[in-house]
Amino acid sequence: MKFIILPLLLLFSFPLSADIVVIGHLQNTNPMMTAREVQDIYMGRQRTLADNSIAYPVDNKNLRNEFYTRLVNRPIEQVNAYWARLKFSGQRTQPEILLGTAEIISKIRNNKNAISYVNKQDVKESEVRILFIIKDHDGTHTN
Amino acid sequence: MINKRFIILFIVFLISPIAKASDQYPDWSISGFGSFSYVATDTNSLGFIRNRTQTQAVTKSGGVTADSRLGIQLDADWSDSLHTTFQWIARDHAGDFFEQNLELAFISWRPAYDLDIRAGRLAMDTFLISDHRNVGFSYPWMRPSHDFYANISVYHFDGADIAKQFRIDSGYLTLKAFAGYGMNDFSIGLGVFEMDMPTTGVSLAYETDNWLTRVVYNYQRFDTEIPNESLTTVINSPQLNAVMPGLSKLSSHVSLKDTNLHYISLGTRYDDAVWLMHAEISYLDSQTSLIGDVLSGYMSVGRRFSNITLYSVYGVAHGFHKSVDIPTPVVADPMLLGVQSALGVAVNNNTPKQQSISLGARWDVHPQIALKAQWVHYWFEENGAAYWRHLDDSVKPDQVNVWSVGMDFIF
Repeated sequence: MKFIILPLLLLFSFPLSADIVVIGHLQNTNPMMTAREVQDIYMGRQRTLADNSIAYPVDNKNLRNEFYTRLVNRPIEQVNAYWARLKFSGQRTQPEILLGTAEIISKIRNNKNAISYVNKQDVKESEVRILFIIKDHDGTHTN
Repeated sequence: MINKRFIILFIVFLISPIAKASDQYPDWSISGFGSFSYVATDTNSLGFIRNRTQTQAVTKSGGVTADSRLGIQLDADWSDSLHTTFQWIARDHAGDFFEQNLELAFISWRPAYDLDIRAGRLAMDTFLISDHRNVGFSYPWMRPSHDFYANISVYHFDGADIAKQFRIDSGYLTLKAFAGYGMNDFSIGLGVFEMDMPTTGVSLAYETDNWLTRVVYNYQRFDTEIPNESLTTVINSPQLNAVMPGLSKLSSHVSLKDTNLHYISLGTRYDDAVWLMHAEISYLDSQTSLIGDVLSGYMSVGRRFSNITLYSVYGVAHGFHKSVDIPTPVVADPMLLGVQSALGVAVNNNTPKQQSISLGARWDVHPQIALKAQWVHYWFEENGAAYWRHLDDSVKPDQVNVWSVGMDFIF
């Protein structure tokens, strides 16, 4: 019995999180994004990528809470309240929310200006381009 | 007639991009927001209303109309630069239930990444909260400060705005100009006031991660008259002027048509995820004693403890209208004294002189649902309850408590 409990305890004693990567189309030739750029696009303050093409940000429903907590240090209810102000006043369009990595990868591959985020281990660099990395736990941004 | 013309215009605007739709577009989304709340006060003499668009006032017996509403929004992207938005809200509003509650119906065009042009029905964003005050989930309180926003009854106008954004350091500066025609119905003591008014203005906003600061100038002009026939009939009556000399001189005090309003306001908001602060100050310059000049402001401070936010608000509205002398009857006839009293209410009860302090809590029980509770204590100077419905002027309370509990949500 203890051979079953011990691995379970070890499993749940560590947070089940990993690096999150912001991804874009393979033909997205912009330089790696900065934390500021990702924040401004996902908080509706900026609409464009570095080359001034319109960015099409997509939210990942499975990672949304973790992503915004790490990116802007706010829980998801605060992010939702923030976007409620922008969206229902008609000022900005909120990022589309998609469910599941496969759907997101498909969206990215079909839209050159789309960006989204997934767990790093779910990415094949032959399918999408990594634009930004949010490190595990400590919130460190890497580009 | 004008309303119908504008609605047809909106529909033409909204369907026009269909011809240009590509495979990727249109990209539709439907979303919404709502609030359900119960409000009660400790007086039956004054009825609490959120602003003058509301037909139902809340008293001791309580009510749900003050803050309850349900909004639905349809957004569509037709291309990278073309977008349309429709928003309709079910709420207590005077006038036509469909037309007056059509809050947004516009097409926006972005000819450049930092330039926005919108045309159609737009939300009035003269103040910090005015363009999203229906969306309770977006702010901590039950409602924006009554001292400040009860006087801002115009929700929308039909016209256009243009906004240009500039990147400055780590923030964004947005310069916006707007112009149009507002058609808003108000419920006032004399009946429904169908207020038509041209409006124009300019705003400057600077936003960073935690701060948003806006300064706005807004001009409005009344093109229509309040339903004052019952008052003018009395004021211009030769028989009454014979026993109340000088009565006819009150005519200019019961009219709004062709008068101007000038608003100037400064507002700032700070939110660092733990502490949040809002403050606004506004001066209204009007040419009519029915409104008067008004200085109003509020300050709110809140602190989040996990998913619970505790906050307090202090608000004040102070009108500068001088009380108008109502002619005294030459004979102390009860009927004539009643006329004098009624005219006094109509002419001199329009200047706000109120302050309030609020304590409240917001509990985010779900990422899209918040429960709220709030207590507000109001103080009035003499005849200062201008933002309230006067139900019994034989009793004029100088303090009133308002309690509210409710739920806000988005979907």
